[in-house]
This record gives sequence, C-alpha cells and structure tokens, in this order.
Amino acid sequence: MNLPPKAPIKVRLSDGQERRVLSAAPYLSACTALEFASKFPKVDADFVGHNDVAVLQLESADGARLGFAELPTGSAEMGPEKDILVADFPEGRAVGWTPGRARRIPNLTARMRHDARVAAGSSGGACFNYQCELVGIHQGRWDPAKRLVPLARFLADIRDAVANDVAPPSVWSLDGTPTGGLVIGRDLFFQGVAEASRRGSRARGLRVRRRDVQRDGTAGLSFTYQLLRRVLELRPGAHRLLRIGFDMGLRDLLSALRSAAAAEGFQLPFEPPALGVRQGDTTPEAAVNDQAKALARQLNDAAGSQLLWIFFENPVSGLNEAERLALEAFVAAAVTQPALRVVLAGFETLTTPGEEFTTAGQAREANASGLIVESIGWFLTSDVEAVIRDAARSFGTELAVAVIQSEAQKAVLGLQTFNGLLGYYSQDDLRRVSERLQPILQQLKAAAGGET
Amino acid sequence: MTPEPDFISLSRRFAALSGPFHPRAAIEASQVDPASPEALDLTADLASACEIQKDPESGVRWLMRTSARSWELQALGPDGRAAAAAWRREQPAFDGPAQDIVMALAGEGGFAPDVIEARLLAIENGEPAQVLELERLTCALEWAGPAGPAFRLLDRVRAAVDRQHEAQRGESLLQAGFLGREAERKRLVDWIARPIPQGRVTALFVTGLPAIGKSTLLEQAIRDAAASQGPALVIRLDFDRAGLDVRDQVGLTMEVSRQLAAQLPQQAHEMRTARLVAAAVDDEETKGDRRDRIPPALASAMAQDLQASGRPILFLLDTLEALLSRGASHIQQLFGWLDVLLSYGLAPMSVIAAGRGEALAPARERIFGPPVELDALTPEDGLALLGRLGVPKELHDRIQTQAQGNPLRLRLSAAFATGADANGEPPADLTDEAHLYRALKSRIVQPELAALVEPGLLLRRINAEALGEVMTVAAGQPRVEAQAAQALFEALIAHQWLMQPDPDAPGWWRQVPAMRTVLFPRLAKGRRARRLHALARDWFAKRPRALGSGGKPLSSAAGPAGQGPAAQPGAGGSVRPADDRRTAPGGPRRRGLGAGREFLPTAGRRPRPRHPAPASIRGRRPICSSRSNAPTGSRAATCTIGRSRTSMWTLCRRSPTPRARCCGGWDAGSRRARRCGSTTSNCQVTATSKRCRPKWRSPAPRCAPSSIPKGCGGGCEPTLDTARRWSASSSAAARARRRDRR
Repeated sequence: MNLPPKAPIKVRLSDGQERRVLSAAPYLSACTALEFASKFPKVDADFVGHNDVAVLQLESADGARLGFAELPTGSAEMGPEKDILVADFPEGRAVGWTPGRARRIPNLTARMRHDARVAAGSSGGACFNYQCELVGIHQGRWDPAKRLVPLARFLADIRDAVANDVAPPSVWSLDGTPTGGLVIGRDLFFQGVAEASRRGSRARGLRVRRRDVQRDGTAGLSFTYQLLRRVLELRPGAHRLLRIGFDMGLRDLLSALRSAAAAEGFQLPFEPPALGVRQGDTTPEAAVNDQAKALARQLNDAAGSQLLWIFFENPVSGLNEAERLALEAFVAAAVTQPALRVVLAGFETLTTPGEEFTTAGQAREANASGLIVESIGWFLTSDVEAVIRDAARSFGTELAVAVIQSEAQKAVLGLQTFNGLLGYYSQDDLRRVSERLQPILQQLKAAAGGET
Repeated sequence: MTPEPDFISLSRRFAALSGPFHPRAAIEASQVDPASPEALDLTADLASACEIQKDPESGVRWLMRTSARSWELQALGPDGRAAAAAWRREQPAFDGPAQDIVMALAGEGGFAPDVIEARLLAIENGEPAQVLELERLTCALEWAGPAGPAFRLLDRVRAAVDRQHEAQRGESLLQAGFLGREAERKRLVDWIARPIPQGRVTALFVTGLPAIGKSTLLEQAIRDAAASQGPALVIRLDFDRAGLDVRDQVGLTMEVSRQLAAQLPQQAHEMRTARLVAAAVDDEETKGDRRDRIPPALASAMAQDLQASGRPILFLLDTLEALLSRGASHIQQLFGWLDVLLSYGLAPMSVIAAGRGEALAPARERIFGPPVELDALTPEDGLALLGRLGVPKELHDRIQTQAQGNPLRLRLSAAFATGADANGEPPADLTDEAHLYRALKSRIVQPELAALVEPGLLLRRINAEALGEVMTVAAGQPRVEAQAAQALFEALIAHQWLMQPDPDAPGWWRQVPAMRTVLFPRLAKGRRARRLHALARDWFAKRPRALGSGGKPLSSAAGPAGQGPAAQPGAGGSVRPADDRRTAPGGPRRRGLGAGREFLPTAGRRPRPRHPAPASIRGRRPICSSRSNAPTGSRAATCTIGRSRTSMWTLCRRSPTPRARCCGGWDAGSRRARRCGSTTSNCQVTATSKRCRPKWRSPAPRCAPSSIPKGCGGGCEPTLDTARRWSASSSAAARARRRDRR
C-alpha cells in the first residue's frame, strides 16, 4: 500500500523555517489494516511489510546546517527493556525529549510498548537510547501503554536511502583559512550547484538574485563567482568554468562567449547562420535565437563528459537591447543542453527563460529544465553556527553545540535584525560578522594544532 | 584585515582608471621590478579583478571588471579620485579609453554633463548618431560609474543605443521594401488609429503560415501609421524571446518599462530606478509563484510618463504560437495582464497580435473582427519584388515557380541569383531547406526533438510510441525509453501551430493540415524519408487494430468513406493536408491495406487521380480569381482550381509560369530515371515504366493534361515503381501491380 502523500507535506525546522517534502518518499511502509482500525495483530507474521514508517526527504539539505543523527551501524536490536527518550512535539510544537522505558510485547518483535508521557500529536517522533542512538519511532497510544516501532524492523530498508542522502559539497571559507573569505548563509547555493552537477538534472544552473537591488550592492554577486569556482574545484576534472562580463559595452555577447570559450581551450569552428534565419531573413529575435542555439550546441559538444558552467556577471548599469536579446536566447538554448550550466548573478530586472526553482528538491521533481533561484540579502544565526562547526571540523575538532551557539551569538551581538525578523541579519553586516569570527576560528585552528 | 601593499593598490588604481591595458603597463605604473616576486603578486591580484581578452591585433589586453572598478573608485572618495586622475595622466598608456574615464570621472570635456545632455537632445531630435560615438559614451560613463557626474545620463545614452537597434530592426526586415498587401496594411493602420482608453483589451490578429511576412507587415504598418498619425510608443513582445514569460508579470512589466524608456529618453533614468525598486523581492518569489502581479508603483509611473508624452501605446504581440505552445492559459494571462496595465492608465492602447495558425484560439473573444490572413504574394507582387531585388528577368519565372509566392523563398532565391557566385540556377533545394529550417526546425527548442522532426513528421499520425520507435530510428537517433519518448511527444504536441489531436484516432496526433501542406514536400525527400516509410510500414503492421472514433479500425478511420491515405502531395504536385477530401463522398473505397497502413505516406497504394482535379477540391476552393494576371504563357485560363484566401500557393493549380510539359520521351538506353526536359524540374521519365512521373511527392506544378503522353499515370503522382521498391512483398502492392497491368 505504498501510496504517495496526497497533499504536499511541510516540515517546520528547529530554526522556524518551513520546508516542503519531496513527493517521492524514499521509504514508505503503512500500518496494518487492523492497526488502522485501532485493533492490534497478535503475531509477527501479520506485521510483515507493515512498519508504519515513512522516510521523507526535505527539499533542501538542512541537516548539514542544523545537525543530524547517524543511523546505528549495527543491528539496532533492542534488549527486553530499554530506557528511551522520545521526541515530544504536540501539534508540531517541539517541547523537548520525554524519558520513558520500552518493553517487549510477549511473542511479538514488530512493536514494543513504552511509557514515555509524550503528548498527543507526537506520533512519528524519534526514540533514542541514552547513547543518543536512534532505536525506534513512536507509533502512538494504545491504552494503557504507547507503542513504538523498533528500528531493527526497517533499518535495512532505509539504510541505503539515508546513506545516499549526502550533504552537498560546501566550503566554509574560500581558501580553507579563517581569513580567506568566510561563506555564510549560502546553503541554497551549494545545494543548487550540487543538484545542477548531477547529470540529467533539470536544474541547469542558478540565478542569484539580490533581495533589495539598490541596497545590497554587488559584493555578494562578485563573491558568488569565487564561491562557484571554489565549489567546482572540489571535483577536479568534472567541471569547466567560463566567466562572462559586460564590461566592454555594446559588445556582441555571442561573440564574447565564443572568445571566452576559445580562451578556455574550446575551439569552436565558426558556423554561419542558417539560411532562412539570418539577420534580414527574419526578426532579430528569431535570428539571435538560432545563433544562440548553434553556439550552445557547439559548447555542449565541446564540453564532452565535463559540465561547462557559464557565469554571467551582473552588468552594473544594465544591458542594451542587443545584449539582452542575446543573453535571453543563449540562456534559453543552454538550459536545453545537457552539459551546459548557467549561473546568472544579478539581472534582477530581466526575465529569464526556463523554469525557476526555489530549492534543489523542486528541481528534482520538475519536468522542465530551469534555474534554481537563490535570493541573497540576509543570513541567519544558524548560518554562522554552521560556519563555526564546519571550520572546527576542518581543523579536526568537534565542538559542543552549546559552544557553537555561544560563539555564534557573540558574532552577531548588537547587529540590527533584518526588517525586524528575529535571528535574521542583513548581508551588509556580513563583513563585520566575518571580522568577529576570524579570531575565534584562528583560536580554534591553533587549539587544534594548526598554524594561525 | 591585512592592508594591501602599496604596489597592489597602485596597480588596481591604474586598472580602474584604464580601458583595456597590457599588464606590463600596470607593473610599470606600480613601480615594481617586472622580474621581482612583487610583480608576480601584483599580476595575480589584478588577474582576479580583470577580464583577460586576446585581441588578434593588439595582443593580450586586460580590462578591470566593472564591479571591481566601481569598488576601487568609490573607495577613493571625491578628493582621492581627483588626485588619482592627476596621477593617471602621468602614467604610461594614457590612451583614448583611459582619457575618457578620467574625463568622465571629472566631468570634463566631451563628458561634461551639459555637453552630453546637449548632444543627446540633438540625437533625440533626429540628428544622426554614430554607433562608435554612443559606444564611447556608454563605456566611459559605465566605467566611471556613479562617481562620474554624468552617470545619471547613462540610461539616456542607452536609450539612444536601443533606438538605433530598433531602427536597424526595421531596416533589416524592410530592406527589400514592402510590396502589396494594401488592404491588410490599411486594416492595421486603421486599427492603430483607434486605440482604446479603457475597458477590455482586444487585438487585431494577423495570421499566416511561416515566413509569409507577418512581422514584416507589422513593421510596415507601424511606419505607415507613424507617417499618417504620428509615432505611437511601440512595445514589442515577440514571444520568440523565451524570456518573456507571462508567469512573471513583474518581469514582463519591467520589459515594458524598458522599452518605454528607450522611446521616452528623458524619463529613462527615473524608469530604471523604478525598475530596480520593483525588482526587490520580499520572499522566495519565482515564476508562477508570487510573480503574477504588476508592481503598482512601476505601472503608475509608466502611465504617468505615457500620459505626459501624449502619445498612444501600441503593443505588438508577435510569434504568439510560441506562447501558445507553453500553454493555453498563457494567452489568457497575457490579455489579463494587458487589461490591468490599461486599468493603470497605460492608455490609449491598441494591440496587434500575430502568429501562425490559430495562435489566439484560447482567447478568441479578444480578437477584434476577422483575422488579417496573410497568403502568398500575388504573382505580380512577386515579380515586382524580384525586380526590386535585381534578379535578371530570365530567372523570374523559374524563381516564381520555386518560391510559390513565399516572400522568404523569393528573397533567398533572389540572393542566390544575384550573388557573387550566381550562375543563373537558383538552387531550389537550398531554398527548400532554408524554408524548412525557418518554418519548423528553428522553432523546436529541444535538440532531441529537433533531431526527429525530419523526416519523422512524415507520419500521418503520431503518438509517443510511434515517436519512440519509428521517428527516432528513422532519424538515425538511438531508441529512447518510453518515458523519454512520452516527454518528447508532449514537447512536440505543445506546438499547437504544428500538431493537433486527430479527431479520427483518439490518442493520436497529426500535423495541422496547413503546416503539413507546407512541410510535406520538403520532408519527403531523401534516404531517411524512405527509411521512415519502411520502418513505419513494419511498425504499423504489427500494431493491433486499434479503434478510431466510432469504433472503426484506424485503417478506415483516417477519413470518411472513400478517402485514401491522403498523406502525400495531391495530383499536380500540390500537397494535400491529411484531412483533405480528395475523393467525393461515396466514391470507391480502398480496402485491404491492413491496420496502420493509413499512417503511411507511402506511394503506390492509392488510386491514381484523374484529371481534372477531384470535385471535392473544386468545390472547396474558389475558382481562380480574375486578378491572377499571370505572366505571358500562363495557363491560368485553363486552371480549374483557384487559390483561396487562406490556402497555400502550393494548393493552387494556377502556375505563374507556362505549364511544364513532359517531354514524352524516355531514355531507352538507361534504366535510371532522367530529368524530363520540361520546366517542371521534378518531372522524370523512367525507362522501366515508360511513364511520365515526377519525383515522388513533389510540390511542382503538375503536368498539364494536354501534355501527358500516352500511358502517363497522371503526371505527378507516385508510380507503382516506387511502390515496388518499398513494398514489393506487400500483397497490396501486388494487387496494385496486377490492377495496373490490366
């Protein structure tokens, strides 16, 4: 009875943000028909294939930012009696962990009963032992006790799905040092690059957009190119990168692309425009569309087994008509080519071809190609925490959550919140936060035995 | 943060105050020994801030990125900038671009705000502007950035550039002038003269087949209207631009603002500022999700500027079939958006829409009056065009025959005939190919699908399965999985100007008849077409006898009783759409071809047509009008089928040239077909059949009855010989042979 969810499920994260759940659940096992009728089967055989458990995948990889628990590596068999902690979240409101004791049900291994006093609405909550290992999922109340589904019943079924759900490659600093440009609040960028790096993905690149064009300046956009280059370098040999600017004014964009490709070693033979769609044969829109298609095809062929990323830098004072037509035409053509990826930094006043996705997960479920849209302009305290945690890990140190939170609070101390939103800070303050974080990270590095 | 060494600062300053430069000059300006490690550091640092260009003439040139330049110049402050400019004057390579930046930063010379403003005013009042002049202004103002006193004029300079682009567009489309279509032009001009001040937006709809001249007509109409009524503010939304997406109405409104700014240059800067404000996003907005709104401030500002100009606004919605292929609701949303703009005060407004086929079908109520239907050029207009293009008179008839009144084909043929390598033989194949490309291939965005349409669209009926198993293989592409085939099929049928559901075969789609008429003769050539026929024959033969509408097997559901497969050119080389009624209802019905054979556009399996043309066609199309004015020697007077207002030239039997005459002879010494000596270039005579027959399914004019030699099977029809090659083992073919012998 593996039915997909009927309505989109949303999950509220511990930092208050909401995420949609991808419609294709990696694992879905319904309860038994008797359980559905509030009755209880007596023998294990009746529970075969009915674990009353679903593994859902969020549209974005927030685990990397918020933290996560590993699956046990062993068999996860529970003993006859076990002290447990059950996640308590009545009506979706997280209230903490409730202790209890799990006991076996005679002649039954498919379910266990427990006595944790969790409130109604906490079904599906994780049950941990006191070694912080997941041992089961709270199923619900069957008076006088409550029940859980032991992890051992379905661990083998979900192990691969969880193992394959890896966080996208990311960096906390452009050069891996505390002074090398800290990367704060760009999770969606990393997820977007990871999704677009997947062969066959509908995400054919990213569009990085400023939330407030006049206020945010161009710093975040310039940083984006460096960030992209750094992330792509994590998989050497898999990617190539072209950077296209609009610095020369009144330039033929398609020629500029061709030149940039040539400079990168792609020799593209000149193809004259096809008869019937040359300038004069048809409208400028149709003519440039065709030339852009031909160029995109050539670039795609030239890319071979690599992915060719083309980064378009934001024009400081806009584009002229010819540039705009050419840019639109090229992006429209590029998103249809499997080996091309486009990154548009800025261009907020332009409409772009193709679909737009707000998350990598959306792109995964899409039927048409497009760009993942990342809006920049603010960051969260949890983003700062993630930088501290990742930096410490890269130094070989695992910090306690409380320490990370404390240091993050120090870094954002006294900053104005973004539009009055608690925990949100303006991108304008990134430089200050980076300056505050640098000595902390250098201390961490020194403590871990690295050079400062 | 560690402060930068002085030489790094100096090199960046040098770059910020230069146009394209050689890195050696930056090292020199920074007073660093080129052989020192500092020079390496400096170069590495600059490289990260510069775009590196390779110019075949001037060698390697570096250009500081505008964002980095802006950062450097802002960091200097007003006093620092003045000092830096003075310093730069003394440095090497103080060339033209560097001088421009320094002057633009200081607001001196030709870059003083009042000087630029005066020049712009003159340009706006009609004084000609040189592209190089505008380019120089744009570059200097952009490089100097907001620090330059004339920066606010940059948008006005860009507006001048955009107007030049717009003028070039008109010149490009109307380079050969505009001929004929007087009635259509008048309707458009009259429509433009009657913009509406408020209410529900309706559009005059211009329709016609590909490359028939819709956009050119619009361009001419704008000029006509401007000459008679004064210029309107023209907003062109050509949906060939994939970026124009009605799901992003914020972006669409900004596009209108941008085009208005080019025509109202005095407001260009303010409009750009309003666009930047409108571009701010409060939340995770994407197309179709919170972008289907019009920014009120921007719309109001546009309305205000429009009212102040006292000019009407004219929306040209071109290539609407491309918008329709994205979904029927897009057309409705587009008009809804226009309604809102009108309600904001973007008035008085008139709208002209143009597109292939029934591109406005989802919003018929928005069409004002009967559509302006464009047909082929009349023979006299065609001749006039050829004359204007300088084509030698002796080629006129030949080109007219090839082009069949299609303006694009006329122009291309003329270009071949008058080009440097002209040899008096305008290549029909090339113009055919160009037309096919323009009409079909250039419109298919997905490369995987574009690779299939030739010859795949020869199939009379298509579904995802046929696409995956026949079209792909025939096109030499690897077979695709069912899911991928379905996706490609859906992409194909999204082109509603090209495909439509087959009413006789639920679940199957076919080409829009008018498009099939155009495309068929061009697709049906070559080895791949033959391969498709073979594949399709086998594939359909294996299909279960699916039921069409009314429970009939598809083999008989291809048309009403008596209708043949009807997939190839009709008699006389004309091309018949799939739903053409070639045989009178109740006429002889051909059976026994097996399920699926109706899908095959193969030859040799339908009754030979009789002369004159079938009554059904005669009844359907008007008789040739008296305005034919065919050239000397034309047999128009004997023509039995006229050219309807909406039909294709190819359907017309009236040729502007003398009817081709089959030579009647045949080359007894060769078993290969040779070209007939007549002007019907596609006519062939073979040694084996002794029958006059043109190439298979050619669009050429049919042989005139009087010229058909004895034994000719009807001139332009496919012969049994073709059928023998393709379906020698077929019992149907065998029966046909026997019948033919009799």
